[in-house]
Amino acid sequence: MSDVFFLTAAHVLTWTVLAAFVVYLVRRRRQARERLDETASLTAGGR
Amino acid sequence: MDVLTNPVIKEGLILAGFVIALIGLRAVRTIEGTARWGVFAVAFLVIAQSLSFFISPPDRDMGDLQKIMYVHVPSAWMALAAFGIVFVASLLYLWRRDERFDRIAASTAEAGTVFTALTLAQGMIWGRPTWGIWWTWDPRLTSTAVMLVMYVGYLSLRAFADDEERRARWSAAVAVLGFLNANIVYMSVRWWRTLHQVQSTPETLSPVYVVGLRMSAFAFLFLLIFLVAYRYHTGTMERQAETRIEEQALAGSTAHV
Repeated sequence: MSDVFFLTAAHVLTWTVLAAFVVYLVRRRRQARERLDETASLTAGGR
Repeated sequence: MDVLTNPVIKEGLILAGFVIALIGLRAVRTIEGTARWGVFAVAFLVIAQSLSFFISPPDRDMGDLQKIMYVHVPSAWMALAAFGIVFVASLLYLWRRDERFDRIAASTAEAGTVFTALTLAQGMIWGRPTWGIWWTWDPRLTSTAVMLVMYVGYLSLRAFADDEERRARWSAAVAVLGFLNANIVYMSVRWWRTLHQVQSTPETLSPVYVVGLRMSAFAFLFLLIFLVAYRYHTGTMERQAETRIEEQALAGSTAHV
């Protein structure tokens, strides 16, 4: 296998993993936002 | 080629990089600022990687394979820097008992785990054509693998401990121990001279690769600041939701009394 193959593999791996991590962070933030909104409506309903 | 070896550019890059990083630390104090910083970090990453990739010449022995360095070395530095931040934040938590320090440590540990795993994987991809093997129990590789296990252990501990105060205290203790290993990772190539080469610094690196490596390192640093800040703000929201639920439960139990 050539140098270009390994170089490409290293880059594809790096950017795929980092992109996946950003997607995880965005999804987790969305879930936190939804949970916060739910608890806000609970608090409002309780009053 | 002059651009790559010009000492003013090489040293100016360090100053400019740290000044921009400080601006970034100020910007990420709000979620809106964090989002803007994220756009900047990604744009800088694309520019830095493109320049490193296309400007620097192929290595005499390794050819284009050498360019893995522009992702491998910055990933390794960010993994170590992340453990350093986790260590300082954990010490501050143990001293001040302020949950914000615990949140900084936890947020940084997640990014640190990703960078450590990347470092190992990139190193394996580089090692196969260079050393002829994917893996060997070299001190640098082994101590980095131990660092990954410690990061994963730290995050697992946080996932399983229910009591928030206890979780913060225990994980802070693990982080302090883990930082000892981070030092071993850094020094391993000097203490035990085996297969892995010594640290990539301007002293050990050909001058034509220094500018590209520094730009890539700062690009990864800016990205690390974004990743940690974004996760920190999410952690704050999660904490707010938990607090509201606890208040609701408390109000409910008080009403029954």
